Amino acid sequence: MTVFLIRRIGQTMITLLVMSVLVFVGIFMVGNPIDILIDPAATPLEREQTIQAFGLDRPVLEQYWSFLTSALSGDLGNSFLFNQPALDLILNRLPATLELAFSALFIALVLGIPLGIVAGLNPKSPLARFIMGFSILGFSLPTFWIGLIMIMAFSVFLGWLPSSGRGDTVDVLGVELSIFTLDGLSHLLLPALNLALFKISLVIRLTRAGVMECLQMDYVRFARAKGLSETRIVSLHVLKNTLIPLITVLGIELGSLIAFAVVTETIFAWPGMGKLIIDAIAVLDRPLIVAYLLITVVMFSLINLVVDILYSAVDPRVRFGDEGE
Amino acid sequence: MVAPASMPTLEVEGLETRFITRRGPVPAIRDISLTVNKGEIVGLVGESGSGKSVTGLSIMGLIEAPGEVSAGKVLLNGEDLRKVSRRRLRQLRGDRIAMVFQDPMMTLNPVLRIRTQMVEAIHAHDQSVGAEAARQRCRDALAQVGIPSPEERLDAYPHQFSGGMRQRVAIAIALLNRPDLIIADEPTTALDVTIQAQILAVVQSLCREHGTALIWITHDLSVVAGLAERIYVMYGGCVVEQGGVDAVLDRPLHPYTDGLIRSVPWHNEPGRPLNQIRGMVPPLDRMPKGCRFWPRCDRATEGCRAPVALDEIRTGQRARCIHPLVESR
Amino acid sequence: MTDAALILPEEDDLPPPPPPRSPGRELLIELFRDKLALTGILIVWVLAVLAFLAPLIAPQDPYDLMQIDFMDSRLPPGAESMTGMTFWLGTDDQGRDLFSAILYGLRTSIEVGILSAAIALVIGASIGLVSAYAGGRTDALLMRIVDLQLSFPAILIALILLAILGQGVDKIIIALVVTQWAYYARTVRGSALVERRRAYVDAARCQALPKRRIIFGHILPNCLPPLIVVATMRVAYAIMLEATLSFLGIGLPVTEPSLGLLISNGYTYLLSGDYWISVFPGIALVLLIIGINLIGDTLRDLLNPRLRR
Repeated sequence: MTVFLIRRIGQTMITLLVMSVLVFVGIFMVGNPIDILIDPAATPLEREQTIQAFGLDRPVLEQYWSFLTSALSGDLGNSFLFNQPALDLILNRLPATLELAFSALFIALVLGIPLGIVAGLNPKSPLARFIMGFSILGFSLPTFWIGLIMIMAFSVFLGWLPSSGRGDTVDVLGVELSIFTLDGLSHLLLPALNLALFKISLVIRLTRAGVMECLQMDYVRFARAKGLSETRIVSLHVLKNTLIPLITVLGIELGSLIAFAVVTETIFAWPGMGKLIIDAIAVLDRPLIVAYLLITVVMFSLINLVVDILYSAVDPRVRFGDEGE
Repeated sequence: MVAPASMPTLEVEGLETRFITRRGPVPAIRDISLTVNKGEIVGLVGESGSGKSVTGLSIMGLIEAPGEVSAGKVLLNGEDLRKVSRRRLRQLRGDRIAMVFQDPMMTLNPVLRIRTQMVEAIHAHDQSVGAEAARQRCRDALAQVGIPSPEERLDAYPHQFSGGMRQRVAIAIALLNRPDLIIADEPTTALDVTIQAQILAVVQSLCREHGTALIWITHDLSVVAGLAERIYVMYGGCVVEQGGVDAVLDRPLHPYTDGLIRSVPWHNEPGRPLNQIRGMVPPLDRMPKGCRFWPRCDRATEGCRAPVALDEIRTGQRARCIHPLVESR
Repeated sequence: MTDAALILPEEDDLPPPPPPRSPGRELLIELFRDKLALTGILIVWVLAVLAFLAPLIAPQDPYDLMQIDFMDSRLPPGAESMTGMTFWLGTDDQGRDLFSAILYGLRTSIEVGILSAAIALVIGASIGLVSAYAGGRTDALLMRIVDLQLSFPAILIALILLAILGQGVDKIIIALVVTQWAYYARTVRGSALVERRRAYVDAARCQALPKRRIIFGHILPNCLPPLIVVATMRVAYAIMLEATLSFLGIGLPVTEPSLGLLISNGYTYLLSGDYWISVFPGIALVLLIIGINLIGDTLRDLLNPRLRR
């Protein structure tokens, strides 16, 4: 197990390194490197000074090295838009995005898994067909459009829920979270639901496929031959086998949710990283873009790492290896 | 041979199972009748596609859509398994009648411990057994099938066992509640020959010891020769011959049985071409009407195209053939 | 042997064999039989025809600045222009006829979706085949890259690329290709590996067929089923991704017709009641995507070997 851990962490480090090179190459080499760190509105004198200060006239490898070292120390330059350290800006908005993403994941699982099980147990029943039809709708409806419709329906026509912004927050371990306040929840519900919709369909389908596959397995037949009740067969034998592969998917899905939050945040004016990055791309605020990318890459790698560890802890075949005989 | 003094443990009459395909219902087995007496070991022999596995599953009631058991009676100790409630069927399965499957790899759930899968078989039928008592029974069962260090093995996962061990576990589970009948569907086909011999020995001795009746389904004649008392030979979804194992194997009546026996390679003299039954088993939806075997039979006549009954041609031996091999060899 | 005459089976004794059909034809028949898939095919067909006939049937070319009049902006559905043309679905804030704009937008969506999927498929499938056939280190390396690519969400990759490359139809297509190729690579590599181990490849090799013939003539055709499913789903996803990016303002430039842009234009007017600017293009987009997904869904069920019994 420890060997596995060390190996995985090593892989993560390498991935991060590779990604940093890619980001560097992408942002700093493509296009005029001069314009990257210098505000387009700067005077020629300021440009000269900045070129000197940032060493843009130095060889590429040196530039990369200084990029890397300053990144590791937390300095990624100042955002053009806000004239504040880019990294700090991103980090400030991170909790809001994470709150949204995790809530969406939670909703997707809580709704998706039971529906998937129902659809998988009796695939030909009208209920199952309905659930599957609904799931097609789920991943066919573009997040941004359904968000608009949601706002129209729930905020404008029905007036039940607020249409934008984040609610009141509560300080939990130094992080501001809105999920613990009623006002916060009412602001969180629509965006989280919006973001979750696409994923709910995925979870339903995966669970259904998993359940259907499990039911055809010999061990289910054997369990029936033992005289076990259907309830036990489904809730233990089938469920455990279905959920284990779902864990790996969760990791990727969480990352995808964090990325897709960009859209939801734009529509619902949710103050997360996503909204920031869209504005940044529009004006080519490179320090901000770089900061966002690096933070995202680090997060994804961490998520993947955690998911791998979780998976190996849960699947006995991986945990105990092949001891055989 | 044990004279059946009381009601037979299993009596199957006219069992028919079919599969609903896009082109209509296709029968997999037809007019299957078997009897297994208390403590008897019976062999069900046939090649792939003969319907022997389907028969076993049909008896247990484990046939699922698109298949269905469409006719017949399955009397377990007098109770018709086809007519009882689902609840009663569940009570009987694993308790009075048990099954062992062919592939030991997937019979056991890979993500659950052995002990979980064994204890649940006990608790499904008797909730009152305490945890420690159940564990004890499982330990003993594992020891009985010849698994060393049963205590540690209980906490292990299936993938930590070899194929032969897994099959032993499956047998142990089948025997846990001392059923009246075990149906073993080709349990050793996927295993090495030496392991096969060990498992056969274990099963035989345990069945004798507990008085458990056994239906051993296989395509391997050599296995039934040493194990069973009576055998049923299946072809094309029907029983084509049945009788005492020695009688059927030494003096087969049905041409198919004869062909099967001759096909075993070691019957052949070295250097001579291998015996084979010409032709191939037709697919289920293209079965000939009448005798199933006639297109491949050297003795076929016009009369073979009509349905043939399973007649008692010699005492205690039946064959579904109008040209049985009654001359002695 | 008895003296009974030897009889051989005659054809009329056995039930008649079913007429042989190629797997492709079987598939199409099954596909048309499924109601959902049929609906999908119908929807896509209608929309595609409308879209490609756009220049002919649209009352107005909404991206020709000479044809639109700012005075016509934000007219409700059914209103008439100064010139007597009826705006069936209303106009947007620039005075564009929404019906025409939607037709042109659909055209762009379909073109971009299919083009990017096709390019990605060729690239991805080639890489997948090479990877599977080469095996060993090459395979391991290529698949690591594929895994890395797949562990990052498509929208993120698209965002990064568009940030670097800027705006434009070709840049969007590049971005969509980059987000997709890995799916094709992985699918094809998976199928190719399975096929490679099959007996018929050994048989072909025994016949000393050239490698290229084995790969393209034998292995590739058998990789097609999952590939078709993946391709269909990816086209739908590409269309949605493009619309999303355009909506966010980093996709297609404002001068190109795009459903996403239309929707984003109308966003500001939603709350004031001029719903049609966002809703109608949205409906068109949703119908297109649902149609494709319905087809893809049924294809997946039909082509899935594991769910068949």
